[in-house]
Amino acid sequence: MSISAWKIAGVSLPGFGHLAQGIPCQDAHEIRIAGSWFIGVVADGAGTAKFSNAGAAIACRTLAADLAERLATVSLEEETVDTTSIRSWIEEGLSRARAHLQAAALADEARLADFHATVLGAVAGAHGGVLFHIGDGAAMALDASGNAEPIISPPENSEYPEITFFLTQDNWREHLRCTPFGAGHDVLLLMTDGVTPLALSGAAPFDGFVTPLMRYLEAVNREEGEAALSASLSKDKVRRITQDDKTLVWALRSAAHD
Amino acid sequence: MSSTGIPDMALRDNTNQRLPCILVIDGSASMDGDPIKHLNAGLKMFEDALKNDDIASQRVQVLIIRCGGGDEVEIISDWKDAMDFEAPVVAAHGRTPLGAGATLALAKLAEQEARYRQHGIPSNRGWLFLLTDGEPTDTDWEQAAAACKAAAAANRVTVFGIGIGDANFKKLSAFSAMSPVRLDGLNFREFFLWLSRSASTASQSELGSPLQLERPNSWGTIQT
Repeated sequence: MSISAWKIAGVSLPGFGHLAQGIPCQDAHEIRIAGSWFIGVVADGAGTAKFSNAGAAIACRTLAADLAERLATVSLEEETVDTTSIRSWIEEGLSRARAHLQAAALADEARLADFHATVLGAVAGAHGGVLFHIGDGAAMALDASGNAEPIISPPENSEYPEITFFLTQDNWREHLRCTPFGAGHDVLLLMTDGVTPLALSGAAPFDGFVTPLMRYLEAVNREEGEAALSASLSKDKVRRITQDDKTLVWALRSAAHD
Repeated sequence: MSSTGIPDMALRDNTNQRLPCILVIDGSASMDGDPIKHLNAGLKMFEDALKNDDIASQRVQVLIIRCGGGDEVEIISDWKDAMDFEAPVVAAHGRTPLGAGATLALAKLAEQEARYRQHGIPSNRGWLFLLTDGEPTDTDWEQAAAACKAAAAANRVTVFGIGIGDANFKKLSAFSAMSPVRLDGLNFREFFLWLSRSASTASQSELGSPLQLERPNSWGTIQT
């Protein structure tokens, strides 16, 4: 019997604009490993919302915890790609994350809209999984060997540029997009809109960014990988490209035999 | 823990529209001395001006071809985002195969535009500058000139002829429907500053909108 082991890295960095103004990072991410399952959640708090940094953090934490708890009960034998089940767990998890946000809003005498955040992520096991996504940013399921075509969950923006969709909106279910992928896709990349200009070129991953990233993170340990990722995303070159907060989560599945 | 970042990772804005710009430079023997010295100094200023422009540095892409030797053309600086562009030093010796230079330029432009399409990157119409102080010395230059004119007529490229000193303006005008411009003396400095300003403006213009260029009064005279 084979089980999966995941190698992971993730950073959330305040944008140059936010650093200059002393505003905290409004991006968040959470990574959980439950058995041989990988759960990654990334959220971007809306710049205009009062408690957006809390919104993003709560959404990530509660959703990842919820999914990890659910997946921990799924035994290895049942690890087939039942994307319908995964999708329904994601939807339930998102709904519970909204309840947590609602509670936080009540406690702060605020509105749910004060916690506006986009959310996206991936749930992946040995046989594939599901990318989920509300709003901008991007999720990618890639094949480390380069054989399978990349599967991309692209940003969704409204007809007005700069306006996207949030988990905290009443019609969030209408904007929830789930994209299944198979066992051939063993690399996951999750990112907020501060990173998409670098990593996406049109509707495809930008090789010049993604390939060196995958090669490097695979070769080093998590601490080194995250330090290098932070250093790269903090370079002056990036300052000219985006002032926004930047979150990038990477995961690589490898088969570990017991 | 300090880190210098992930090696070889390209950090560029893939959402930006691009303006591809090719310079075909006459590196023949007659350019030796002051002309090539001023030209190289101008190229360096071009590099600095582009890099100091936040928008142009990300949008303008530059490729430089040298014509010289025994009717040889060489790419002395392959496609670079302006922010990564480093002005090459052009050597002056040999002949002036301007036709071959223009042909190579059209091919490189087509190649780059295919790359943009493949990656869904929007782009402005490309620019092709031909700089010479003489006249084409390659035998089939007329064919190349006709191809340039045709590509320009089909809106695939804008071709500018820049003549220095005793350049043959009649032959230069065969490459473009636009009249060539005579550089005032060796005022490469003003020419390259004008070019970086123009590239900056054009790279911010809407796709498909007509080209609005500053008149070259600061550095040249239009040869009508």
